[in-house]
Amino acid sequence: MIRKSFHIALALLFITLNIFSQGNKKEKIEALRVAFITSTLQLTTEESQKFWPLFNEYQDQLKSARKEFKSQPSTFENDPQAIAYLDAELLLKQRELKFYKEFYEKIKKVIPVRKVALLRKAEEDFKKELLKQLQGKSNE
Amino acid sequence: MGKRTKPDMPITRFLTILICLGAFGNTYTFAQNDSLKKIKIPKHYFTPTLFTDFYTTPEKNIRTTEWNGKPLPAEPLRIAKVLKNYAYSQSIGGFYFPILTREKVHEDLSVSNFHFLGTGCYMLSMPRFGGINNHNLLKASLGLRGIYNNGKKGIWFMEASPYLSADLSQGQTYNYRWAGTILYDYMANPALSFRFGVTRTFIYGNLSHLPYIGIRIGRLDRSYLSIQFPRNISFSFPMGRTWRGSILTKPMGGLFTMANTDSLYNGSDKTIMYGRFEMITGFRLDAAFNNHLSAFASAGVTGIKNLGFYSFGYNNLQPNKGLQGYVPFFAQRLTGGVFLEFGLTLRIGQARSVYKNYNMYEVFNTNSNLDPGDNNTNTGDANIPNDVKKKAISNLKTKDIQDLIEAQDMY
Repeated sequence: MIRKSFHIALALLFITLNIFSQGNKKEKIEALRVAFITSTLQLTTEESQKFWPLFNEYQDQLKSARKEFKSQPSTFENDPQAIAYLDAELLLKQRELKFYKEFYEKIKKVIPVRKVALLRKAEEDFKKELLKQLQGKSNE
Repeated sequence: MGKRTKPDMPITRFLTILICLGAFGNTYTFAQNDSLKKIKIPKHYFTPTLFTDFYTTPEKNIRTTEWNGKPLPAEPLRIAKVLKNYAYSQSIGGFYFPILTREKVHEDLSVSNFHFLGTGCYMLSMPRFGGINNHNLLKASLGLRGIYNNGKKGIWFMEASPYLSADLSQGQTYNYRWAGTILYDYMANPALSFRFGVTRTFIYGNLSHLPYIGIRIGRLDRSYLSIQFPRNISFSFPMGRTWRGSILTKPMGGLFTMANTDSLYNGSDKTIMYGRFEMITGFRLDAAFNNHLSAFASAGVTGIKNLGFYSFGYNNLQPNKGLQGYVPFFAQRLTGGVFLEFGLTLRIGQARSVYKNYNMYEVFNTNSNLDPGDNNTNTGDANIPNDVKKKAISNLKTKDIQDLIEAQDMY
């Protein structure tokens, strides 16, 4: 019985290692983005303690809104479907703006406004970095 | 002024309806604005989590002499001769899931939260003695734990884990026990935390009521030294984004109900208790493959390998019974050996993001340090992302970054 349990557990472990060794790229990008923001903002411990929970909540809101939008069919067989898609896109944009406004209102109370501006810049720089990587790959 | 005529009424009504429609229109627009907020974001920081763990140590002979070579007294000698040798393995399957998560943003914009979790654990303990029949011992627990993070420097942790301990080889042989912990975690800063509390545990192979004293130096997403008495001492370090290595020492043990079918105890007890613990020291490698799946493997040496047998009948005859635990009618410390442990953890569903939220990292670490079921296994901290340096991502594809990029970013 011991040997059987051991072999089953070992087999499961190796199968899993094999399947998932590639990792999840989106999570890696997210971690990289956070690292990028961290090094740009140089938050103090107190600022960091308040900033990150609010930032994470904002990110969760954005992620959920985008996920909802992505659930829309992206091929249109008739006009109502196209209208539904456009409406969903408009709703997404409205939500993004609303979430950002809420986040901005909160965040400017916990970190200096200069750092809020730096955050925007860090996000832009990170996008550029990713695009550069993507461009480099497509040129190869 | 002319008398109001009936035909005016429909116009008035029409206007009223129009105004109402306008109002409703506004209400609708407002509702639509309001619906902007109606979006489902993950409720919990903890997701339902399943884990397995397997642990084994090889066979050792039961001594028929004391450490110093003197012969054992008659009764222990008889038992030692009956047992002959001893090997041990165990497999564990457990889970925890969030029942309730409450979060509050305070006036100073600090975020506190409370996590109420249900826990469960099934352990099959398989001691193998050369001279007696095989006993497969079950330990099954269902528990509750609450963790309160005040969003500043303090975290409270409380857990009660009642369990059933039974000998599966023999029906109707079971006992109920419970383990529990209450502790306060003071996080002075992300790189330094202290824990104080009390714990009722069986990980030393007997009932123990012990203080919980812990200190961690170093950030949880980087390298850190953690001394958590009575649970573990470890030095943990990240190895890239996915891997984390640890050098650790910890007790692995428990107290299990066992049928007295081999007449190990001379009294009339049908049930005895088998207690064991090994103090293990080794290297552990954790892999967080993604947010949902992690695994670990650990190997090293067992410096101390203790086993003991207890019986309620024998214990009742002892003058020093009580909080100190049970008094063994047979106990032995065996020579060390090696051990192997590995496990898998599966997290189901989406959790709230926690990047750089060190309070939540501390909550996760407290939760993983005190595993459900009081077995002192550790599911690992795969939900704490390792602090990564800026580094290019290989094989980047457009679909990986489409959420982050707007059309205008291309110009």
